[in-house]
Amino acid sequence: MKTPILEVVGIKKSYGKKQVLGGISFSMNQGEVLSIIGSSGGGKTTLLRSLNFLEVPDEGRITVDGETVFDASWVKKQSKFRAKPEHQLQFGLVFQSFNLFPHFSVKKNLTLAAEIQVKKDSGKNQENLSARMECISKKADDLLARINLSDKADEYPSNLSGGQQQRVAIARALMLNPKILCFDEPTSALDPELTDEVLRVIKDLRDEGMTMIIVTHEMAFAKSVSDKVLFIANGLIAEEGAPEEVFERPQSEALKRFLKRDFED
Amino acid sequence: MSVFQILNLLWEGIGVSLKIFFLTLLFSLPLGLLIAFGRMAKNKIVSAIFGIYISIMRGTPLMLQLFVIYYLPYFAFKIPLSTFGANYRLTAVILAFVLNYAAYFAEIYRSGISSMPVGQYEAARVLGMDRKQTFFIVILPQVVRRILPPVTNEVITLVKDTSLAFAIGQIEMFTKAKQIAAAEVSMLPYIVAGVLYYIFNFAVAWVMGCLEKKFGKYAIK
Repeated sequence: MKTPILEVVGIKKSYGKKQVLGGISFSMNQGEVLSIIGSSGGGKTTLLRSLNFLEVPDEGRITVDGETVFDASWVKKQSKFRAKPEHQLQFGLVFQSFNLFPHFSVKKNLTLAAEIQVKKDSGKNQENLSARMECISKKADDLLARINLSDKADEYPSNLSGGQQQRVAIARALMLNPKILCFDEPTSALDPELTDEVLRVIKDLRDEGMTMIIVTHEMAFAKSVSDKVLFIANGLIAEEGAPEEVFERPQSEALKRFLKRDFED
Repeated sequence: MSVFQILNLLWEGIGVSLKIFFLTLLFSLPLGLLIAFGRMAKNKIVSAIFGIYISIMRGTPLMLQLFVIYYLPYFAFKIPLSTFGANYRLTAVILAFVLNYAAYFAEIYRSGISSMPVGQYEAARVLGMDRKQTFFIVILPQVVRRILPPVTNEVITLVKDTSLAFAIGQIEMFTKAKQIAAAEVSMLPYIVAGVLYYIFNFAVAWVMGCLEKKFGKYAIK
C-alpha cells in the first residue's frame, strides 16, 4: 500500500478549559485536495494552524510522507516549541489576510525566504551562491508569469488589489516547494468579484497535482475542487467523505443544518 | 559686538553641543532597543526591572539625573571628582543623556513593535525564518517606519536639552552665549544662539523627513 502523504492522528487542543480540537485523525494521499468546512469557532482554522506549527497541539501526531514531523510528546513547553525548519517547510500556508511583507516588492516577497536559506547554506562558497540566487530569481519570474502578475514584480503589495495580493501570497508559498499547501479561508477577506481569480489559481494547482488542504466557506468551490471533504463541528470530524456524498447526502443533523444555512445566505 | 564676533566666541561651545548631541544619539538609540526588549521580556521580574528604570528616567528631571551621575562617585564612594581628569564633566553629561534618552526611545520602540500585526511574524515563520531573521528582516524595518515621527520629536528635544549641560558647569553653546551676554550687556548673543538652535533643528527635521520618505515608499495598512 502507498504511504499517505499526510497522516494526522488524534490531534487535541485546548485553550484553558475550552477544548477546540477533540481528537482529529485523517490522512490524505499525494495529489489530493482536502476541503475543511464547518461553522466559525468549530476548530477548522486551529487544525490548519496546528499542521503549520502555528499552534502546538496538546496531544497527537503528524506524519508527512512516512516521517513524523510532530509528536506532542516532544513538546516540553508549548510557548517555546518550534518545528525543525525542514519539517516546517513540508507545509506552505496561505493566510486569510495575505500577510505579505509590505516593505518589500512583490518579487522580493517571493524570493526573500529562499534567498535567506541559500545564503545560510552556501557559507563561503560565493560562486555557487550567485548561480543559486539567479535560479531563485528565475523561479520567481516564472511563478509571477503563471499568476499573470509579471508586470507587478517591482510594485509594493499595497498597490495591488486584494485578489492580486492573495495570488502573490500563493506564489510566495510555492517558492519553497511545500509538499502540502494549506489555505486558511483564502477568499474570506476579498470582495466577491475578486474571489474568482484566486480560486482559479487554486484549481490550476490541483490540475498540476499539488496536494492541498483548504479551509473554506465557499461551498460551491469546495464541492468542485476537492477529492475529500471534512465537516468539523465542536472540534471533531462530524462527517467526511467525497464531496458528492457530503454535500448531496449529508447524514448528520449538524451538517444538514450547516449546509442549509449556507445556501440561504 | 558684531554677529560674527559672537559666532566666533560661540564656536567652541557649538562643538561641545554637537558632541553631546551626536554621541547621545549614537549610544541611546541602540541602548533603547535593548531596554525595549527587557521591558517586553516574558519574564515578569526582568520586565518589571526595566519598567521601573523607564519610569524613573521619565519621571524625574534630566537636570537632577545630571547632578546624580556627576556627583555619584564623590558622594557614594568618596572619590574626588578631580581624579577623573578634564573630560569627566562631558563624559558625565553624555552618560546622563544616554541613560535618559534610551528610556524614551525604549518606549517608542516598544509601541512600534507591539503595533506590528501578528500575521507578519506568522508569515515569516511558515516561510522558515528563525526569530532573529524575522525580527531584523521583517519586523524592524517596518517598526522604524512607524516610529520615525515620535523619534523626530525626541531628537528635536535633545537638541534643545543639550543646553542643560550648563547645570554641572559644562560649557556648551548656551553657557557661552550667557557669558558673552553678561560681559557685553546685550541680548544679541541669546538671539544668535536661538537662531543656531533653530537652524540645527530645521536640519534635523529635514533629515528625518528624508528618512521617512526613504522608509515610506510603501503604504502602511
